[in-house]
Amino acid sequence: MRNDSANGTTRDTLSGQNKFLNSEVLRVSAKCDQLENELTRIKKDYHQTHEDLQTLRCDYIYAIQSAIQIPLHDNSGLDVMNVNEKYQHVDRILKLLAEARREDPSLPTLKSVLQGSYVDSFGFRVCYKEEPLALHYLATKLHHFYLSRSSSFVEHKLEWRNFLEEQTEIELTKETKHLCRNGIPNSLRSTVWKILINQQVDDLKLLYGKYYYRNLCNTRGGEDEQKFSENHQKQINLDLLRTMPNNVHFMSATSKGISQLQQVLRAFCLHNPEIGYCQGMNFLTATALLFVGPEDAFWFLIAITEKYFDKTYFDSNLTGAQADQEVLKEMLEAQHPRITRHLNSLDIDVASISLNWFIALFFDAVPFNTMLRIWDCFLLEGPKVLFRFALVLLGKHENEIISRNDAIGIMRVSKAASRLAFDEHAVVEMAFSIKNLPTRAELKTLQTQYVVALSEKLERRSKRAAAFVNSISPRSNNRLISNIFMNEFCSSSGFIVSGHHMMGKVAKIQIQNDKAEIKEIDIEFDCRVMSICMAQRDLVYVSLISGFLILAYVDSMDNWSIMWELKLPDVAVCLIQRDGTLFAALANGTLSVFENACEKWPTNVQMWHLPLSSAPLVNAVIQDDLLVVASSCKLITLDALSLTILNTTHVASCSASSGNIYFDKISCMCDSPYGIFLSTDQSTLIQLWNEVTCNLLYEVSFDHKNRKPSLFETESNVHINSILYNSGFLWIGTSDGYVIIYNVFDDGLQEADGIQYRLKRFSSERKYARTSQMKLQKLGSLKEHREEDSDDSDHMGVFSHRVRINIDPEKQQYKVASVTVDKEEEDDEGLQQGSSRVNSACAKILRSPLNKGLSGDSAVSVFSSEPCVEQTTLENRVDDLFLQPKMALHHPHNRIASTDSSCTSMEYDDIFELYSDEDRSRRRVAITSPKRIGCNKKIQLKRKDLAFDEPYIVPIPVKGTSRDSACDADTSIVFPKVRLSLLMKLKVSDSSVRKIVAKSESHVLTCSGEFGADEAVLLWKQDPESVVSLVQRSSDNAWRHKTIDITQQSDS
Amino acid sequence: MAARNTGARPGGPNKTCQFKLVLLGESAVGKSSLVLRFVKGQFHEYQESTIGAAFLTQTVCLDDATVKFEIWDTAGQERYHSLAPMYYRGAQAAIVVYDITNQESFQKAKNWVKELQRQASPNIVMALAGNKADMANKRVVEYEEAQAYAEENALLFMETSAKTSMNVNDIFMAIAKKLPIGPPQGETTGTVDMNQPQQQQKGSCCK
Repeated sequence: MRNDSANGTTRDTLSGQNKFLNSEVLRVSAKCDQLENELTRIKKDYHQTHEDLQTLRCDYIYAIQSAIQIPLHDNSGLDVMNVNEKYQHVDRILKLLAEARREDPSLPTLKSVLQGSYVDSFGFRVCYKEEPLALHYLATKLHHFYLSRSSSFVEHKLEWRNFLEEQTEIELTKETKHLCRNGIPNSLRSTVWKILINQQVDDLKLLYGKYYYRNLCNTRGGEDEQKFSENHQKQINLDLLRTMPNNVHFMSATSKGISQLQQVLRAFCLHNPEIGYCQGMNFLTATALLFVGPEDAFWFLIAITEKYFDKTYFDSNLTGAQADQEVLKEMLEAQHPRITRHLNSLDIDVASISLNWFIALFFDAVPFNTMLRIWDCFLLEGPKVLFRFALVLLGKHENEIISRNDAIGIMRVSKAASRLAFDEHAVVEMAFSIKNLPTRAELKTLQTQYVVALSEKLERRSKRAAAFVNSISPRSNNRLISNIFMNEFCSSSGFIVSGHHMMGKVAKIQIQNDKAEIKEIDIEFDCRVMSICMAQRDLVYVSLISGFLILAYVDSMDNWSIMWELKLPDVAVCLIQRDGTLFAALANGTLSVFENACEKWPTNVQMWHLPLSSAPLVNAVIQDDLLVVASSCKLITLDALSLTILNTTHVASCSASSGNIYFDKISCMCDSPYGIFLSTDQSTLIQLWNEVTCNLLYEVSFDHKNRKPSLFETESNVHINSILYNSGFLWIGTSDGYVIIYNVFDDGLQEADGIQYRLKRFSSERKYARTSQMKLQKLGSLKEHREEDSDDSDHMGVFSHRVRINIDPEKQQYKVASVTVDKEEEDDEGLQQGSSRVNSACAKILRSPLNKGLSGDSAVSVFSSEPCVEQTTLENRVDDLFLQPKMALHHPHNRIASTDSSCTSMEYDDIFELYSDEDRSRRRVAITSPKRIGCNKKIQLKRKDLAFDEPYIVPIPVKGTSRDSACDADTSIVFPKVRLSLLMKLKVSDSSVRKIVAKSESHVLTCSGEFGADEAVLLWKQDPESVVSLVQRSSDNAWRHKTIDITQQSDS
Repeated sequence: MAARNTGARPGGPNKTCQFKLVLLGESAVGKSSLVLRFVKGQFHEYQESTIGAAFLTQTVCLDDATVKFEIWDTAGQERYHSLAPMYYRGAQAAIVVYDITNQESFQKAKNWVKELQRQASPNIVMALAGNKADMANKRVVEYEEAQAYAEENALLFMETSAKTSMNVNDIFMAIAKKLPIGPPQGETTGTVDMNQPQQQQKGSCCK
């Protein structure tokens, strides 16, 4: 009983407990659920709060930034602003900055901005002397930082990416408008701009051919060139360093950006001599070069002048640009009638404020980032957007403008207003919310009407119109002779190269008994031939402007068959062969050296790429064991075997009085027992240099006999085009078709009546020299590619890298490997260890963190803060990675760029092609081992030139009573070691004498003009007894002989 | 901002007169540099090239008046020539600048003088500035030659250097002294406004 009841009690208790526990479990799990929900809510809240905090930070920074007042009273300069200096705000900004810098170390610090050591991602050196301005800048940067982290921006970027994945063209649609108006993310800008530019000029590219730009860059001595040097060269040279003096890529005469800028502007002037160079284009081009390569920048200029705007825009009166100001006035009246009335009452012309907005596309008018946003829209939508932005800038401060009653005050308000348009988002939003603007078609009509009205008022209208009609016609297709090359293996023959930008032909010239026979070779290239050099008696190297190096086999009947071709990083301007080693001087400043390539079926080709200069290499000669390469104003002497740089000599720039001393290039040079004879672009001064000493400066245009200033009938712009030393005689060819022959004496006699020269060395007092070096070290990824010190002998170790191509003729496959050559590794043993070692070297390079985007061939590298996208789709394009600078390996969006074949006209699938003997059908060799090789960057990044400045040398004639006879330390008098005495001067052609070559000790060939024309190629016989005879081909193909009595000629 | 070289006392006891001054001359002779030196006391070896025109102001104090210059700095390239009348219209003073190391720029300066004599306001005060005087070792335009030319054409003449600031303030000061300083405010403004609305700034005084 008791037990039962006890059991019952126990059961009851247990079931009670059970119930309790059950309910407890339920309760706890409910609690748990509740807590979990709570947690989720809190998490959500937290994210929301975090987001809010970010937004608040962003807004806070923005508020601080906008709290800056711009006093416009009379004594302040334009850029003076006052930040409300509340210390707590300053501290807060700095604290936020420190926080942000942990995430993005590329942000500036207050100190770096105040000291001017900060360089922003575009290369601009930022320096604010006053703290408030520095703070304002920091606030702007922080604001950008927060915006770039915001979810809406991330989404926007994703949208862009997705769009670019799907599309290779960017048509003008609602979607693309939306994308561009919201800004192209910095990391995608170069890709997108490239597409936008190229789709504007598609038809022109088709018309002019794909090597058009290279052609213009590498062609000298045409009629357009003459026009260029007369009208535009001087102005361009004046403006080069005045374009972006605060940008590291453009602040020194030796910067790569400067040489690219010059090249693009020159090419444009040659392309369109009627428009030529107009100030403002320098800003446009430089900005473009910050994002795209020189070739795209060139097409961008063409798109601006021929597509976005019409040809009147930059004409001699800027008619089109002025007409647009009239259109703007009309729009302003409709949108802001009060402003118009006020300006009219004060007699202020809006054009005086807004003209440069249109001509330079808002460069320097609005903050750089705002300008980029405007360009993003402009490149897609065209000039109409410029009106929108102009209206915003003018209308934004309507009240401010109306409250002022003096002209200059209004000018300054509007200028300051645009300078301070930091809030690009608001500016864009306002611009595209303007209603009731004329449609595109109406705008076009309006513009045309104003252009007509204006040109009627502006003088010389008819003349200009005629000029423009001419300029539209395509390029002349004359087959100009560009060069002659002698056959080293057979002294009686040589090759005459002729053609134009879409065709290249070679003719063989055979000389026997004072007679020459010219025979065209049955081969035609699709572009100009740059250089020819014999590899062996029956093998010839040819370099084309398309960047190809070709080996051709020449049979006994002078038929050429192409054995293989190899794509080089850039055009080989000059080829030289020596003992089986081929040297190719490339237009990108690199010297490429090939070993074991001189074979019909090469099996183990080795290439070295030695970056020597930021400017193109223009010429090269071999002197015994020395290889002398010319680039801009430098002669670089290398040991031909070890490829070590022995010395770098700066030769004199052409003239002392022109004021543009920095940008002359060596135009022609030749070897002689006395040293190197040379002349620079647009110059009539012969220079003789032996290593680092100048042994002669001789002004050709000075009449040394009669001590008269000029020897030329036509004084304007004559210059030396070609030069040759041949056993005791110096031959000069001029741009106006003269051949001048001098006797060279080394008797040490000073010519009494000559002009004596002093050489003045300008050590450019660029104040940036030091800081730029410092900066380079700051930019982490640049540092590793810079030379440790500026010692030239270290060159090899740091920069050069070797590419090896192993070819298996049986399997018809080849392997490519690339190594950076270290000093220790230079012995061949190291390399013989095979590709496994090579690959490990590459792998090492690949693994190094590369979170910076490098835009391959553009002047500069634009850094994006996002991590590099690992990239795996280029399986079959291994070659591009190191041989084709167009393809930037480390560009995060390589794939997008590469799929768009239209935007890189120099693109090829393979670097190397072999043609088998039996099968001419261009069978392509399969590629194996598609490994990514990460070395091409090394060729690209030649920051060395930024790190130091070099002296420039200018010859100054010593006058009788020299004003500053107290020669400073920088000047040295040139003591001539040789004496030139004029033998003969003879006009042989109306066009320039392009090349003079020695056939033998006694025979010389000159060429000028068009292939096939009478007297285009002349054969001269040179006699030791100072007799020169002209052996000449006349029109009926008979040969006549003419002996010229030297003594008489030189007197007359 | 760097220290100013010119004492500026707006709203002092003296009357303040405002004048429009325009700078003309060939490209890269140093127009912008002269202005920058005068207004901000700064000098950059490579001054960005000017497109269209730039506007700045600076005040100089004379014994009995304060002169406020509205400076219109123009682009030098020939192509911008057709815009020049827009800028020099209504100017009371002009500085025509050439580069003493560049003969062509001197010739160009003479052309500008001719154009101003023909087209600008008849009472315009003109000065000729031979800039880059610090580069005397590369001089090609002789001082005497320019001096003689200036005398013939009744121009103020000085050789200047924006780099060393030689004669920069002086040339502006000399112009200020030659400008007609009108009677105090109130008396003239009305008259000028009524008679010649398009030239209302001419000789007018404000403040």
